[in-house]
Amino acid sequence: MSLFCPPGGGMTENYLSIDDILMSSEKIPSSFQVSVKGLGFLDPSTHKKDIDVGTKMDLPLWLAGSLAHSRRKFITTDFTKPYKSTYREILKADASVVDLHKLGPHFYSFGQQLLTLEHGESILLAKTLVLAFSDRFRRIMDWSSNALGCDTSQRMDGLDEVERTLYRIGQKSLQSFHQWEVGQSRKLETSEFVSRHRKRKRDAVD
Amino acid sequence: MFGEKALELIREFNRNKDGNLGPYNEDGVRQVLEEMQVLYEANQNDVAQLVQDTSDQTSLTAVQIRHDSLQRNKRCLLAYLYNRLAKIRSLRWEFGSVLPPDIKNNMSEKEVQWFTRYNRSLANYMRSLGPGGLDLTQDLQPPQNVYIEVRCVEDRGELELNDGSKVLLKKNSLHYLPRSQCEHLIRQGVLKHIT
Repeated sequence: MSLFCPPGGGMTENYLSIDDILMSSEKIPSSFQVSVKGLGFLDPSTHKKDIDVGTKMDLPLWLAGSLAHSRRKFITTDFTKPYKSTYREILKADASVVDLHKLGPHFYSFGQQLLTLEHGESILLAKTLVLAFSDRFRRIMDWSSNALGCDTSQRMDGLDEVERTLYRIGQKSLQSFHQWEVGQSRKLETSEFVSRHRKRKRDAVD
Repeated sequence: MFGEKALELIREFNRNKDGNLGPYNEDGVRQVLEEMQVLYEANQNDVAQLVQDTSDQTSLTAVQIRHDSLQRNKRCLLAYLYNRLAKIRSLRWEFGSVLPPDIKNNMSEKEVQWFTRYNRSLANYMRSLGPGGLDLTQDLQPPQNVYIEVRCVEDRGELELNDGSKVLLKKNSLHYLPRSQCEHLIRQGVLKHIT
């Protein structure tokens, strides 16, 4: 039973979701179209008092999104590297060998958020995201529903957070099915929280 | 950049996501609140100036940036508190109404209060169900037999059953007990179910 706030998914964020907050703190290159009075200290490369017109800065998505969406265009934004055409070509060639976690742990959801910023290549990016996901999903599905009792940490390395969640769900149902097959599913078990808590305590005593 | 300290709180929670409840970061929360206070005052000043002198609009962007930062800090704080509460709520179902002291130490005073109140609400609700009340934390899986065989994992002293008889729970002793009376003990790791 998971009571934690799930990620929003899609183009909107879930206000209380930890994953969404982490995702929206990633930075995107932006350049200021207006000058900002008195906030020059936000740009560590200069000692000016104000931010001038044309200053280039990496702003976190939560700020860039709001500034780019306001009625007066405060800033213009660009895609980060993993979403530019070079990487899009790589993903198109064979998405399943790419280490998405390295490109950004929240590759898909961040990409979706980028789509809401007006950018000439938005449609191309959207297509790439869908293609990459469908390309990789077949393998993730295959792994997660066939590997019982193997060490899976290595495979998890290259997966984006969404894919990891899917993978874990698959593994969990595989294990539950296996337990049912061998007749263990009726057995009462110690709660996971409790046993983890005990282990930690035992470590502390040793 | 604004909002870094708030993000640190979220990161800290995320590191402990699958484990037990981490300590409540009172210092971190206070620092975020202080940052918000500074942002708020700076914005008040700028807005007062903007209202006085409508020809000078240059500080408008700064106001917007600070406002967004305030919102962001608020979001991070709320998410931090909410997700901790969600975790504490699930602890009630895992550990029962009494939490181990080291977990309780990690909770803030308000969180302890909330936990007590949640306990009370849950108990009241369970009592109101059916003629004699219904324990919702019981039978999380459909029961098959009335009696089950269990092995004791640790010394627990005597257990008095509903019918008045007493059982001595000694380490490695085997018992044949009514399922309804030992399910909690199994979940708490005192007994082990043998099939």
